[in-house]
Amino acid sequence: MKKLFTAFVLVLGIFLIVGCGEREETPELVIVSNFGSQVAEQELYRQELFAPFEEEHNVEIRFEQLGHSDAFNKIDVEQQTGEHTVDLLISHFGNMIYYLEEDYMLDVSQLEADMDDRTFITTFDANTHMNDTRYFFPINADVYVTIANLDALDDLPGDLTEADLEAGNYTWDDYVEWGNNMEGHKVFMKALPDGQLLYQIGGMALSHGGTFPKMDDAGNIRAWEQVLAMKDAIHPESINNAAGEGLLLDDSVYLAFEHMAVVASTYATAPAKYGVYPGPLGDDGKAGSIAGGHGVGIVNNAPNQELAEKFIEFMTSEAKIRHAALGTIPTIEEAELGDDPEDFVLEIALDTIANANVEGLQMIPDYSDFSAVKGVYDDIYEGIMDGSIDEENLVAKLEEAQSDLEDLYIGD
Amino acid sequence: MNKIIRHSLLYVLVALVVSIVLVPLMYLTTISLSSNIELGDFPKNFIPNLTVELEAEWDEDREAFTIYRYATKERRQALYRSDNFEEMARYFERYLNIYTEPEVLENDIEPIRETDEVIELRYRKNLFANYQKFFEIFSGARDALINSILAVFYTILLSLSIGGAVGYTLARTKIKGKETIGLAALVVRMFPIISISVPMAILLIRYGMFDTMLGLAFIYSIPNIGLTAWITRSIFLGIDKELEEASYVFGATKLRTLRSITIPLVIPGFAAASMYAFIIAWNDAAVALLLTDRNETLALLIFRSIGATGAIHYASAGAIILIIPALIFTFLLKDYINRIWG
Amino acid sequence: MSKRKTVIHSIKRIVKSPYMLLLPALLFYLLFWLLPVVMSIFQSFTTVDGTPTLQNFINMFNESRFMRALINTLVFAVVSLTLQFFLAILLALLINKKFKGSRLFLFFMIIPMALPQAAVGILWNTGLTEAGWLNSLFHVTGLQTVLESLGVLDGRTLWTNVTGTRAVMTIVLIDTWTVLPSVMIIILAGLQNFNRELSEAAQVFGASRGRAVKDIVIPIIKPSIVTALLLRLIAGLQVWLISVMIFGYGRVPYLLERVVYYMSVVARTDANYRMAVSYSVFTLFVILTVAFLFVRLTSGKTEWRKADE
Repeated sequence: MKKLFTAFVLVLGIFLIVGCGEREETPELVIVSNFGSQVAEQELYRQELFAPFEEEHNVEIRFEQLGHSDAFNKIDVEQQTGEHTVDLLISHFGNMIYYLEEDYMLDVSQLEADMDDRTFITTFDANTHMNDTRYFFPINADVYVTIANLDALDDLPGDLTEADLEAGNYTWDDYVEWGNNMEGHKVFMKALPDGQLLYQIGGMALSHGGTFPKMDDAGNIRAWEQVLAMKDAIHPESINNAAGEGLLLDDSVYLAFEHMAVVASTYATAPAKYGVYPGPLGDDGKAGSIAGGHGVGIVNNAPNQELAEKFIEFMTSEAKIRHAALGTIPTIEEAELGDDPEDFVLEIALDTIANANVEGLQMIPDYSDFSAVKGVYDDIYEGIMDGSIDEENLVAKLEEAQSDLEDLYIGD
Repeated sequence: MNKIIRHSLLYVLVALVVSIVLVPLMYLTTISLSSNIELGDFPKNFIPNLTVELEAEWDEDREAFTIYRYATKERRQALYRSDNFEEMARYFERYLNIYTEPEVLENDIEPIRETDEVIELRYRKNLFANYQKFFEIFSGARDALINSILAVFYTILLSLSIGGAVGYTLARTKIKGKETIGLAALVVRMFPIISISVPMAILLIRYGMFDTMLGLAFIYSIPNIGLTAWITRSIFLGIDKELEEASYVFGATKLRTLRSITIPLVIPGFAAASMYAFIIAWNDAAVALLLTDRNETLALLIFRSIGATGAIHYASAGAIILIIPALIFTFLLKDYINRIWG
Repeated sequence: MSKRKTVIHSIKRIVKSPYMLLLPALLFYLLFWLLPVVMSIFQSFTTVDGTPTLQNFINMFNESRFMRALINTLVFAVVSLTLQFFLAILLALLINKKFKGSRLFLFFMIIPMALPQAAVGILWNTGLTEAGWLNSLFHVTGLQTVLESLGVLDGRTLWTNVTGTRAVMTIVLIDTWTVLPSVMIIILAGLQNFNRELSEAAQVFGASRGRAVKDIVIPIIKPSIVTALLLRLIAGLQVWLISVMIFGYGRVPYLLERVVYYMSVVARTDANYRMAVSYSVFTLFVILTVAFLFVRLTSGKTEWRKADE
């Protein structure tokens, strides 16, 4: 028993020493972010943005990646209790309105005027501004593109070649046929419940001339019919995964129409193993994609406001903005591009945003509960996968779903 | 003959049961030592690779070296293409866990430029790279580790002081309602603490202890004080009162008696109670999820890391870090095992 | 003068009274246990402004996942308990011998239970994917080929491609992996203590081994088993964490999974908080009811046995 106690004290002691080793007091810049959920992305942030900034300003950066509701709760609590810890907020364009309505963000017009060496794109001004005052700076914009394992090229339908894919010269019907040609379940759908399925479907529908979010217009019906047509090719584990990276990595899936950040980080793990292509063409003769993105702003009463401003200046500079954008589209006109594998994905994305049917996410606040909107899409998908929705009743189900969607609408 | 057969059947059964327990853990360990690329292998390695074997070839068309790896014995997979050795070294470090200098790569690979030779490469893998990266990438991991230790520490303090006092009272004093108190201690021991975590969140905000390790420790102490009371009670009962009295008789001071007789006898019980406290506080992620905001514990961080796709090898490394202390303390406790059940 | 003395004296007596040692514990449980319990019950029966209502529970019963959460929780608790108990007894009886390395064996058996749940979640998450270690194990041991030729399997198994009760069973199996070894060693310890008595009794009465087990061994080791089972049952009703780590929120709901969902996944609105409180009070109610029934059931049988004697 004596030995027991000694061992106990010893282990605890070792942990205390290891844990408390060299803890020194440097100011801490706290960033709460909806962006950068992938570990590889956080790694990139640390390497390209945080480490150099920390060194230059003798500060420690704490990056907290949180979903929207967690992030909002956190800032909400801090603003109400007056215990401020968060300095910077990186928010999705669609969620900025929640902070602006509560007046939780700092007016950064002056900072914008000071940074006269850069011009921010104006695509998302409706989100980043309120009453013509700037509260957020856009740091990235993103679209969906196609990624495929090169082994899958053998299964290309008809006389399609890789050159066609590279030129974006293939349709959603080709994509479906391609997936069905592969042995097993080799296509990834973004099907995690309450996840991003609707953006993938939305992109398909936009390419067919449909609108978003909508269930029963011609473009959306076409999109769902194509999901139904490749049902057997879809990997069932799609429903457990927020992103296709893990499944692509272990060759469980070969083909995905994915968010470009996921595509970039997957592609970077083995650039010679994957091909990245613009999204497929729809009935409209164009590719389609939902475009999102994030912006950075300073929280009211931030403990380190001055450092926060410096950090924004640093992260949106022409040399750094492409890292801030994490392999998605950088948001100042002067941005430098590099020649990393990720930058290859970027070129394709730039092409998409220039030529495809693209739609932003400014409508999120028009719905009482956007995760319920996601749920409407999830239900149709689940119905298709468990066989309860087939060619016969698809349209009827979509019409039902449309009325659910309208019940959630609170905009004008 | 029959006996031999029965005996060997017994050993087969035992071996089977042991391997059902150990094989998954071995796989987890191996995954925690795998590189990002190795995550894609099927079948997964049972024993970790110590080296990485690659092939390099000059690609005429693209004017770059292609790096191949055998995903299985038959299947060669192209991974990477570049003729910039700095970038290649960065790629090797990030995705293959090979920590090497660009010059080394250049030495090895440059000779086959513009030839059609295939060269075999073999590099040592940095076995513990994921463990380093875990603390770099999950930037809260170090704080989370410290938080877990703090939560454990406070839980031990609370349980031993409050629970120890109850145990002593039950064993050494004549009070009424001992049985009721004993029963109450048993009930709180079994009480599902997570179901009071919901109102607790609001109470802790009021007490100013939301998102603090002390706040968590108060919750962890709910079952643990009861348990400590039980353990210390039996310890105090076991100490011979006459031994202490004898000590007084021989002229020892009260302090000396305490030091040389009572404390040595009490320590094992307190140690055992502390270890229960350790296990409850260290292993919990559920209560911490509801009652903290910014200050994660290590177990909570591991729980949350599951959403980060493509990072399961880092999460596995974190899981191993979480497992080791829990294992040590459980082994120290194994004689009491049936009491911490549940 | 003397009056003051008696006051001081009585204060001293109160301070020195053994009950004072219980005071911290009493205060602690009032503040951190009784208060939250009472508060949550109160909140679950009132609206935000404090008027009594049953609406919170009506909302909860009407929540689309309520029934499945309740059923899944009960199914999990009952099935896992039964499975683990009988498998453990079976294994313990088979291994019930002194053999070389038995200490080492016991040592290994403790491991799974020591693992933090979050780590178990990671462990099985890496195991159950299509290219995970479980399929790898099937592959390298040749089990895959055997099962495929028997027509049981067709290609790699998609372990997480399950819904409803089958998904609950997946979690039951993981829980069994975690708990079974330690249940087994408890029973084994009980058996080995009474081994000699067992064989003597069996010889004396000429009973078969099976009968001896049923009539002698089980009654003897019963008390410690019953407590242990009760603890397991209560733990089983609190399942959620590993399930969420394997299947995510919402797909395979449990009562506590709903509590956590409404507390920390969706936005922190009053409505969601009331939902979480109602679920949490309801879960407590279910746990206490099941535990009470269990105690009644087991102690009832004991009394009946006594009466028989």
